Amino acid sequence: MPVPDFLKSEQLYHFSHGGYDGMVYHLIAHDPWMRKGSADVIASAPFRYQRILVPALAWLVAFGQDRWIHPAYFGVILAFAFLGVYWLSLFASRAGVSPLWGLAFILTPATITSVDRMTVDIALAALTAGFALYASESPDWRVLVVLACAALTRETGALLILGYAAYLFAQKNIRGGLLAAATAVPAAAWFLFLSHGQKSTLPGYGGLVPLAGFVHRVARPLRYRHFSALERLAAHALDLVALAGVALALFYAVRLLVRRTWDGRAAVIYVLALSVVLLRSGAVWFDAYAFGRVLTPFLLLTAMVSMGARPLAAFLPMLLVDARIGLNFVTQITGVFRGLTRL
Amino acid sequence: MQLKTRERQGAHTRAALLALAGTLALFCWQFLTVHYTMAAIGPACSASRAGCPFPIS
Repeated sequence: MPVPDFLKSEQLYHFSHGGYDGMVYHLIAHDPWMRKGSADVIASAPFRYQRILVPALAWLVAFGQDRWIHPAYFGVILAFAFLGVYWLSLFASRAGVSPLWGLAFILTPATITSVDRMTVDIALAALTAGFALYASESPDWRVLVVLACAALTRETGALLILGYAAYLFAQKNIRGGLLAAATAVPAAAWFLFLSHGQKSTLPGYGGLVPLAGFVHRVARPLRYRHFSALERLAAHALDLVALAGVALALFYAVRLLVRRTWDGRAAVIYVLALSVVLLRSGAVWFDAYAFGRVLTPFLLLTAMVSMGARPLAAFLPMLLVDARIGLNFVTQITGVFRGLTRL
Repeated sequence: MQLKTRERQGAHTRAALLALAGTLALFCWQFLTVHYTMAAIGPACSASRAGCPFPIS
């Protein structure tokens, strides 16, 4: 990705493979209102600019000053880590398990990848925890703020609104349903402004054949051409473990359905589970780094709803996905270990 | 009633302390990886911190 002129002074490192999504959000944080040329160098700029919350918060914290964007962006990511642990810990207390389970938020695939690569998924993960905590039969301002922020963080955050509003309408809580649905308005207005009347690329991410994307990834493993034989074996095995984690979470969702669990959180889980089943995009299913962070709201919410009885089993799907993500950290872990021990 | 309020405040304080600990742990991890791992990513980065990549990917 080319660097716009106003950022040449930052001497950004260029990755030979093109880099990762976090680079894009860093550029957006420098130029959230598209006045400096960032939108011209970002591929699919309207799609990327949809995810405005984290970059805009970083821009606000930095008072729009380019030289403060880096610490501000890191600060915003860490602030969402704080919120995620805080909300999950409170939820755990109310579910009757140890508040220490709040620290499980650090192990969500979205947290791990966002802390490593500055993607915005940690924010949606934290907001999902906030939603689980504040969702009730009659929505108050806290859950409404959480939902509005979720849709502005990532377009997938709108699924939380869809599930919760549908539940409230089904309960004949028309006022609550309308209020929940209204939380989509800021994001919808922003998306409309960005699209300039062009069709969204989002429909291309789904398909009508259930589990087509999931089955494709299981049947056709990645090739890992640059790996050694041992590394390739480990990566292939852990890829399957990660996909088994997704399958287990889907099983938990089906179990909730069979037990006729019906409340605001369960309704959102059903919507998220359906989106996983219909998710076809090869880019999302590419590896655990990609699908792990995108599916984190589903994995986390399913775990939270199930954590009252057996918390470890509830978080197991997430931990299985983490196992594959952890393989990507071997270089970093050994690097840090060597650095600290001077070996 | 007073006991319930106190319990609730205690839960919030515990959650905030845990959140602080978790955030600090992530910050330390970021610092350590940038310091010990990312410095090896390229000559520009090794020569000057200004050339280090953002984000740390």
